[in-house]
Amino acid sequence: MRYRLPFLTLLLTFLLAPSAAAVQQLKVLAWDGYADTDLVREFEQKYKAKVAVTFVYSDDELWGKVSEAKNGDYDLLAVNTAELQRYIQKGFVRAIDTQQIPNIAQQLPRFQQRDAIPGLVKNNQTYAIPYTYSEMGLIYNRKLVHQPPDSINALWNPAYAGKVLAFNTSNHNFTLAALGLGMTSPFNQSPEQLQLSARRLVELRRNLLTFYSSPQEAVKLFKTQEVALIYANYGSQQLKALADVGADVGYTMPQDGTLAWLDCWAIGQRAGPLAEQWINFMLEEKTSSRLTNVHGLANTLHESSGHHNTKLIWLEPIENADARISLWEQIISGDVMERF
Amino acid sequence: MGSRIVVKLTIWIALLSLLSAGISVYFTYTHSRALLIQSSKDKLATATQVLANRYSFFIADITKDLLFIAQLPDIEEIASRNSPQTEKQRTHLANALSGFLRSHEEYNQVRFIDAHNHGLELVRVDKAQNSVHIVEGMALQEKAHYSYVYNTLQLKQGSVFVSGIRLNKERGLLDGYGKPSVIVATPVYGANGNVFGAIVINVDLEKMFALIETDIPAGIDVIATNSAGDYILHPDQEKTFGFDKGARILIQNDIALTQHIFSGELSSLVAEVQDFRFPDKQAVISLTKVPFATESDEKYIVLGLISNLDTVLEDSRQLGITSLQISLAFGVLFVLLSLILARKITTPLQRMATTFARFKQGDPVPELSINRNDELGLLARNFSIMAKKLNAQLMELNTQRQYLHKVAHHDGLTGLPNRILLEDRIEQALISARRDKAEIAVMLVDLDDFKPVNDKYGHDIGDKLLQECAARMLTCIRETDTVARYGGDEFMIIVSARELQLRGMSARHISRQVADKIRNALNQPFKIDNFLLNISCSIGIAIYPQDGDDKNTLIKHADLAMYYAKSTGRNNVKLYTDIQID
Repeated sequence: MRYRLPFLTLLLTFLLAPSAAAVQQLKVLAWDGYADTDLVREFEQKYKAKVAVTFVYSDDELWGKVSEAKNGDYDLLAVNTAELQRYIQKGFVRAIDTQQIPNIAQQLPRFQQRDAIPGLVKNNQTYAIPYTYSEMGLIYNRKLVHQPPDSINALWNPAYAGKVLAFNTSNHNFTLAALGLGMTSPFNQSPEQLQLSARRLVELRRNLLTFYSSPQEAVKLFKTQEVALIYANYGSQQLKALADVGADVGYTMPQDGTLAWLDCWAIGQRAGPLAEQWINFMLEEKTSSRLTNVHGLANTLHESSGHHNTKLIWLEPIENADARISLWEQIISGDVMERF
Repeated sequence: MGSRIVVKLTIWIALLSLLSAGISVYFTYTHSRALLIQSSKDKLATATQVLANRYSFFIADITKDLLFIAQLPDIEEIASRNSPQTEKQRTHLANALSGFLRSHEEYNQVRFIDAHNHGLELVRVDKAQNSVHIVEGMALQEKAHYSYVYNTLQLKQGSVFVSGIRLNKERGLLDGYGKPSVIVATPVYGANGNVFGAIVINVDLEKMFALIETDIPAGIDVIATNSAGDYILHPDQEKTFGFDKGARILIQNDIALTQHIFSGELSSLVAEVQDFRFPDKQAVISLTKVPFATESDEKYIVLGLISNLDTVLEDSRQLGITSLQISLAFGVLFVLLSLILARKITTPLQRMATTFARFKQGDPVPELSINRNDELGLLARNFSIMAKKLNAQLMELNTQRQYLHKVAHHDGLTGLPNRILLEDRIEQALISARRDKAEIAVMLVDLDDFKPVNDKYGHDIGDKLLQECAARMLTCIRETDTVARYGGDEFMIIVSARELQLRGMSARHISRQVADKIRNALNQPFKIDNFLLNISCSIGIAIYPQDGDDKNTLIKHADLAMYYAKSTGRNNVKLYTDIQID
């Protein structure tokens, strides 16, 4: 018996191995609200697949995970059009076989015309399918802010010192600082301009209560601390999260520039055809309307009621993500003004 | 052993004993297993409580250190920065804080942070590769936007803030980036009652738990989660701090039962679960909430221990095997005992049965195991009583039968055989005579003048005379001969005299002698009731085989001979052959 047991185990391993290999694996990098657990389970059952979803809370984190992953580890990533460009350049993503995604036909015409959206198509090949979008406005506490702020510089207003929540990310924050400083090309800053923006961000930090990462964190801070103004990185999603807990808040889009993002599904370099099935599944009516009904995000199948087309600045690829990240880490760690 | 009872009894007792042994083994096994598991649960729960207490003591110790630093004399002046002495005082404080860092393995940073100037670090001491560095000048950072600063500055004097346990993401800390850490801080108040700073200690969680976990035996692992269930300590490090890495890994998903802790229903639990370290094994897990008495990012953490049940289950398996062996041994013993017992019961039964089988009428009652006090004794006693009764009845029956036999074959007056018995005797005598080629004589004796005696003296005297005659005749014959009463005053005598014939004497001669003897005996006077009576007799003799070879012929010829004797003058003896000669 003592000799037979390992043999049996070995035999069983061989017998079971083919069926184990038959289950396809799908690794997904997404944002909160993009892939709810019940929908993931449904996909797993439908395609006999195993899906592992990892959530990210900033573009820096997304980039970090994809660039550190060995062997093109992730099959799918939810990435905005601006960020997408460096993923294409680095060869982290592959062209998408749109024929395999029949639900594209259900999208609004403007999202089907992918040529018209900068960054989606390269060399006649589609690299990303639009999924959701939002502007990043300002959420203000009606009890403390009586006039809706009309400039992004409200975040720096000493009247709100210690009562401002900013978002913990490098790329948008440098763009915001440049917009506030009146720079003409906020997405494409020279090293000197980045340095200027960094100093501006130290000033921002000094005016803050803190930086937040997830919509829930912002809600928790709003409830426990005195918060006047929130930079809404998650846009309408975040507004809904606050309204759901009964916060008396307003939402405004500064006239001097409201950044907006369009998040797309992109497919990892080594992903198989199951990745296209995932995107097709995400574009189903049920899945896409979940974005809007539960998470307050816009979807690409229906026109959104809450999204006004007031001077939106759609995100563009930035000049040097690494430089921004490195400066940002200094800023968030608390380096003094003199270091920039 | 051939006895069916022995076999049946043995089989039944053996089956019963094996059944009872089996049941007792089963209950011993399950009960002992439950007891062992319970005891291991209890032990683990106690150990978890000890662990939780140590954690609380640690936080309490850190609190004491913070409060000690907060009341050091130079603190307020350093914050005010209005004295030329400030630089020197900063150095003093930095040296003092360095001492703290060196003496506490688990501290990796101690700071004094300004309440103003955006939370600028006034004094900061970092640990790098276990050496202590004082951070100065431009390297000091502004920390007002961190929760451990803005929350601490809102606290009352003497209270502390405990941060959530996170991976440290603050650049600038020399040795702590990316390490799990917990930050504990206390506000510092000035003489004017205003808060002017915070003392902050950064604790290296791995080192802290290494200290807390000392003397936890092998096979037991420590688990810790935050108040949402995210692992912050797990045997598999990949599973910790999932929330800081983008994928939540929650204990509730591994062990569903634990959700009761996070929902607030339970403050601790002990349960038998699948060991998530080795999925094919069972384990006991014990978890307990460790609430923070102070202000904190989270209200509590959950600490626990997981221990696999291998040793426990092995113990109980061993116990099961041992009790099975003992039971089997007892089972065999029971079978042997039942054999002996069965024999003990059946041997007396068999003996009794044999005795019953051999018992015959009139035998003395056999002495069975009458002295036993049990049912067998009772059976034997009852049998004994029954046999005695049977014997008594048989004896009575025999007596009656003998009496009846006598009445049927004897003459009531003289006690001599009657005619029935006489004829039978003649037949018997003829049978032996034919076989032995011997002779017998049949003799008929008739009393002469008996009737006148009867008439003269009455029947009483007559009867007494007949009795006396019978008695005298009996004295004249041998034991082997028969005298019978043949009729009123007639007697018949059978003479075989075999031994005399063997000596060459003829039946004729012998019978003649006997007849003469009788005639003489009866000729003697009889004295009956004071009467003197004289009688005589006439005797006729027939001899087998010459006078007849069957009973009737012999009797008839003897009768003829007797009449011949009577006719020739009474008191005479005549042989049948004499008639033919005459």
